[in-house]
Amino acid sequence: MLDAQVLIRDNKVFMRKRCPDHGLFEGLIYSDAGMFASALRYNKPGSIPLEFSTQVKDGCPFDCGLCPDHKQHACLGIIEVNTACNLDCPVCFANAGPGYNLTLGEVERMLDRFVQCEGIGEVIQFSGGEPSIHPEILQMLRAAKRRPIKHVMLNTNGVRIATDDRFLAELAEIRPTIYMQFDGLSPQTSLALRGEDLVDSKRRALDRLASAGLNAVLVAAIERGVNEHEIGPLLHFGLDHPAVRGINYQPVMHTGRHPDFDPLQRITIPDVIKAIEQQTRGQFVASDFVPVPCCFPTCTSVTYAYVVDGKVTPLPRVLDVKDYLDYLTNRTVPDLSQEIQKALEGLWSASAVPGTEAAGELLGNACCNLDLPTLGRDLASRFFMVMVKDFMDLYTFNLKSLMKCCVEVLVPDGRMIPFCAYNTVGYREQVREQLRTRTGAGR
Amino acid sequence: MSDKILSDIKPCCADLYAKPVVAWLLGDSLHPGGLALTQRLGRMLKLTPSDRALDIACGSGASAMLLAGQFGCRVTGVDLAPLLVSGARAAASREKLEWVLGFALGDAEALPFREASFDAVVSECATSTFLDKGAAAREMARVLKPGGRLGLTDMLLTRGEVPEAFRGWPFQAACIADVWPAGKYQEVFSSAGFSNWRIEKVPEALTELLNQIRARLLALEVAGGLQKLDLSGYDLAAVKQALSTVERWVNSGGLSYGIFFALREVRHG
Repeated sequence: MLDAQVLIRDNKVFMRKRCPDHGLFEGLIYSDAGMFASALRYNKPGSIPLEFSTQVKDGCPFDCGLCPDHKQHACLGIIEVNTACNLDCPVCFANAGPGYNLTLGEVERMLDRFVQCEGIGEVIQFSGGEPSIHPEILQMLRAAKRRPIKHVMLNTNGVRIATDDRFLAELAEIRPTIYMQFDGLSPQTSLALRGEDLVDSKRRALDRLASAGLNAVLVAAIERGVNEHEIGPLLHFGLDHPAVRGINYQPVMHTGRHPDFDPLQRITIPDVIKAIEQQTRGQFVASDFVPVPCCFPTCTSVTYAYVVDGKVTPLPRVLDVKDYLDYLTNRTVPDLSQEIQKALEGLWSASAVPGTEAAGELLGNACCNLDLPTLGRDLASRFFMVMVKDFMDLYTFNLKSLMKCCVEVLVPDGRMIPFCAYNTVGYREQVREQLRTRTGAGR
Repeated sequence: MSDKILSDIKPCCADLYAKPVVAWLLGDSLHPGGLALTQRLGRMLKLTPSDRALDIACGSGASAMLLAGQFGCRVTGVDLAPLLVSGARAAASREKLEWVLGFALGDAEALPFREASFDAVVSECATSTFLDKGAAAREMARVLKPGGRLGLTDMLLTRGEVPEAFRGWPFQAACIADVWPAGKYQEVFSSAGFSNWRIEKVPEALTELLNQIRARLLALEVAGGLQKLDLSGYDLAAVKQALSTVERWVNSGGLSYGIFFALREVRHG
């Protein structure tokens, strides 16, 4: 580990490190110093997990698991069930290819450990490789659904959903949230980032999800010079599509497989937000976005909007989000809508409690001719989440952010490793080698 | 509660609770821990079908109904508010539970029951609102059979004093203006004839309730902001401010929630 300086130059925030072997190097971390400073104000203390899994021995980031120095529990646990993929993308932080398949037994033990550490788990996301091609993925999804875990997600490229009727029918029964990579609407973007034109396949997958009554969050990898211009059109596509409940923009993580890049020209959160503002012509503006306070606040920004008949109302315009920061988490599922739905359904059921007034009178004259039971559903079904998440690479790696990370990769030996540490300081390679060569379970 | 003081508080109380939206914010069962904690209380008291139990400040009767349903005991609920008592009676008759459930209008400090009428007494998040807690304790002891069981859940002062900011309205109605430390409850109830104390802290009941209020406020504000509801008559800012103050008190370790269990001594005095 190297000491680093965080500097501001031309109103941009950079990290500068000096390595005894490689000399001085710098990376851009936030392209707007004002937004950086205001994001820092959102930082708030974390809540630690019920159990830690490792001891502090070599110091951060070499004791991950989580160790007792970690400052946050896991909002999101990722299980990479395989390393194989049905695509061969030029951009892949997971460097998908030959390696391992986890067994159902291994996954069940990882889920149990997650629940042990978390009590009630927030989100489990199955990833890979490409998890949809794992022969036991449906059983794994079911195993997660059986446990006290609030949301179960499948992170997929959508290829199998676009083509496999039986698979789709099973998903419709299990009802995971689908976290679907979708980087842009043009063949050029798809070719550059995925090596082939997947646009039709993605559209078909989403249409099929809609007809199966399943919801999706789009995940767009954004790369400088490739698809910045698609940020707005993709958002409009999502807002219009019946299956899509949110979109998560992620600047391409320069680790694993990735094209050459200039660390001083990285796309960062303010760039994406400004592109959204320009390309949606102000439907969303920078002040609609709120830094997520549960992780380090410069890692993620989010907003929720109420959308009806093409009219977009970001919630920060109608209420003071500072009163409700606990609801802005890194779960990457648009579950704020569920919270609101649950609460408003409570408004309805409260009226059925003996001694309180009838439903229509509960709010006096407040509910002007409105059907209360449907209010919760009506509102919730029209919320849309827009999230921007920047992962750290070697140029921007920062222990202060890492120690508060709430996105963890679960490992079969019971460890939970913060995502950016897993992908940047060598854990991925270690775990992959261990699992590839393990006896009894490997294939 | 004496008539004089009641007449001072009642207008404010009425003012607050006349807005059903406030009752909704506080939750269906109107006390921390909800019915799950009521269930736990029932298990601690080892209620059986042969028991007669009394629920003091029974409100809408939800807890009484749960105890009768889950443990098979006969339960009488008593409350000071005529509207709640008649609502509870109506609910019991709707559920065809009149044969195990009864509701009476009455004051905790002068209970309308004969000596040694009950095997168990429960009261949830109410003792802290009784102005003369000693009188209430003596009444509980009086209506319990010798050896009878007492189960209370209530706010618990875990450090220092009640901060000045919480002493006035609306905290009086929210059980925290006159909250006591465990030791003081124990002292007053012991001198009324209770022993074999067991006190368990359940801070999560309080945190959950505060979270629920926060979620409901959010939903309300969203609905209001999107002009689905007209909230112009409601002072949400005041509610939010009160909520934040209580959250800070809880987070700093000053306020918690507890279950109290004790036995009515066989011979007292």
